[in-house]
Amino acid sequence: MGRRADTTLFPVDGAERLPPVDIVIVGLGAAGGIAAARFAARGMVTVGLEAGTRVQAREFAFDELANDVWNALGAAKVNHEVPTWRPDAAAEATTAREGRLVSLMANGIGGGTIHYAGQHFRLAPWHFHVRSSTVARYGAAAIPPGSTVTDWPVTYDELMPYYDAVERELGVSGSAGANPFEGRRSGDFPLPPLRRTGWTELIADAARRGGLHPFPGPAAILSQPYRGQEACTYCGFCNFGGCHTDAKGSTYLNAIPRAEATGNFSAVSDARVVALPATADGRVGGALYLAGGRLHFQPAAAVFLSAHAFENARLLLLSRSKAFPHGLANNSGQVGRNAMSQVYVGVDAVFPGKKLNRFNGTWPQCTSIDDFNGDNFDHSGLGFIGGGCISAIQEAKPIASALSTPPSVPRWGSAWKAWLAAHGNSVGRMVAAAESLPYEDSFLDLDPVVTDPLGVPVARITFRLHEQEERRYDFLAERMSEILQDAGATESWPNFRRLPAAPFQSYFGATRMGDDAAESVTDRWCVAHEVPNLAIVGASSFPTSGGYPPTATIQALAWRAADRLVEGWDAATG
Amino acid sequence: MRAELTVLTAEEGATLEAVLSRLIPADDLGPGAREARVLRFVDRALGGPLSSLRHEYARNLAALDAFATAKRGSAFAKLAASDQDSVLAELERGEATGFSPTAEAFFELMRLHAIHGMFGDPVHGGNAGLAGWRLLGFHGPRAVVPARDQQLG
Repeated sequence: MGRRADTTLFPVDGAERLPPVDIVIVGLGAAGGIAAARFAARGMVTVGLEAGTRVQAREFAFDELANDVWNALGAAKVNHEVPTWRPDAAAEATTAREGRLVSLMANGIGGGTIHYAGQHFRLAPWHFHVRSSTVARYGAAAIPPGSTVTDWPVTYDELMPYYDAVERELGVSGSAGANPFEGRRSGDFPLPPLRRTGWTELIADAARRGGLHPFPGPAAILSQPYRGQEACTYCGFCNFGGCHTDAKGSTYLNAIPRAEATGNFSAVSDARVVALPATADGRVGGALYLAGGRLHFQPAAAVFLSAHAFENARLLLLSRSKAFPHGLANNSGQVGRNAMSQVYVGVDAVFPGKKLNRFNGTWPQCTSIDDFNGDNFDHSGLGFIGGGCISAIQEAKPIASALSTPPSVPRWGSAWKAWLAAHGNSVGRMVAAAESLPYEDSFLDLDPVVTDPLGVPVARITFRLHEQEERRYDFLAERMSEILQDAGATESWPNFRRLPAAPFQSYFGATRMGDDAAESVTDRWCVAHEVPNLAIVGASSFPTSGGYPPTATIQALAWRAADRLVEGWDAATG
Repeated sequence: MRAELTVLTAEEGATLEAVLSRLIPADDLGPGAREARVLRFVDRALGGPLSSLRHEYARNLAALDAFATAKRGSAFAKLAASDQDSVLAELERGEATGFSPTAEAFFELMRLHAIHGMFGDPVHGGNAGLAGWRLLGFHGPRAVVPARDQQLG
């Protein structure tokens, strides 16, 4: 049996006390990297703590086993503290078993942006007001029972300048206006779209014939050299791996080195934060971390928590104190509530006799379609709200390909082998980033039994798919199958298992932002309602998942939260 | 080949090799798991990234031999190929007994690792001679892919 940890497990008194700084950032990934650049540019003395190590291009191998299957980039931390999952509060939680589809964070300077796919979508304006728009068009009965779905406390227009800024910081490739459903933009993307392929155009043509509006998906992958970085070489080992040529939008390649160049920011790698101690007056005093086997305390006037969606909530819950006996910023009991898992719905299809040549390129080198996202189609009678962006992706890898054969074919033996030999290079893949809504019975807390090697409880995810999610995913899978068949496929089949893997794909919520302190953890600026010198940023901030991958929005929120913290410095730090 | 096992015992190796050879057999289309050294991959992985599964393999390979002996009269590796296939099908359908957590879970684990070893990078011990990649038509990693290689064929 594991132990219930609290901050007394890691006493501040026993830690080496470091010189105080203005701001300590916990987690140097998508959000923390952007925040580092903002704080440093504005003259704030900032330290960034990262559990993983420094990585660089030359160490990244083209290795599907190490990257995609074993998550070697999670060896420093997350691989040893995989959350447990249960479908409901009456069930016993179990750890995800090796080999299931899990998308865990990477640990290293750059965090998840080291190994992410790099699809870089802004949310559409509708995604910021799901509840009010749904009620206005379809009536209150369209809101699913038990859902805590709410509007965001920020609009697309408010976030737009930050989306612009992030795209310029990373060098995002895309084509403004190619997607008729996108929100307004101040200008074109910094770089043109990634190269089109036979596969992306096969699907684009079929979609156009079907009256849809295909477009090149925006990508945080450099289609051309940008600010001293080289362009993508389309190697085919992009998603789940680091880029061997520095063409990915990973924050260790852009925002973080720019922050370091100011002299105001220093990144501390291999520093694993174990608690955020509170002061007697109810503020956060800094970060307590383990490095080199020793405990250190980094005092700071403000803390920027950006440690990944489920890790943000876990660290708050672990940081108990007199002022916050249920965890930092959690006297309301809201930390861990309103959590969601975005399930990637996928369909594979075979095009007999046609070589699709997808064993190369990068996942966001895709044709995307937004006709079935948000409220871009009439939901009357469908039994669900929202939708998702669907994409036909490049970058097939051999293990993933061998694992996806149609249900009509035996799963092993000579017949299976013969099918792979005949069709292995003729399978195309489409995926949907489907909207997920928050529910009262979906939440995150600390596992009462399972601990990491330090004896600290892992996160426990309580989550099941609700009826609306099932219908939404089925609908998106049907639309993808239709497009694939219009493009010439003879058979299509689902390529992702849904549960129990689902909780460990993109994870959202658990430190929701909102105007009502009784129903959220932070305010609209991502500052904790209960702790004025604590910003909490990540997909954990999202009130709803949106119908796209989250990274662009995480980074826009981070940019905005960092600026706000500096502009309101005196009030925040008292 | 079994002499180079580092984690599995000789008996475990013999049983697992027999399973892998039925999951991915050598045939007219080319080498199978045996020729691609998939057993070597699993054995090495059980001493590395998959070390937490060592006991699950030990427990269930013993259960597989016990089940094969009870149902077909001898250890799995000594059965005829057709009997081996029947036994594996019973595992896959969850009809075999004595496994933990379940027969179908162990079948899926072995199938997954067979595919990992057949189609993963040879640096991890399997996919010898690039047998898996050749079967699939995967050319192997290329650092730079030109536009012509991304056209339909």
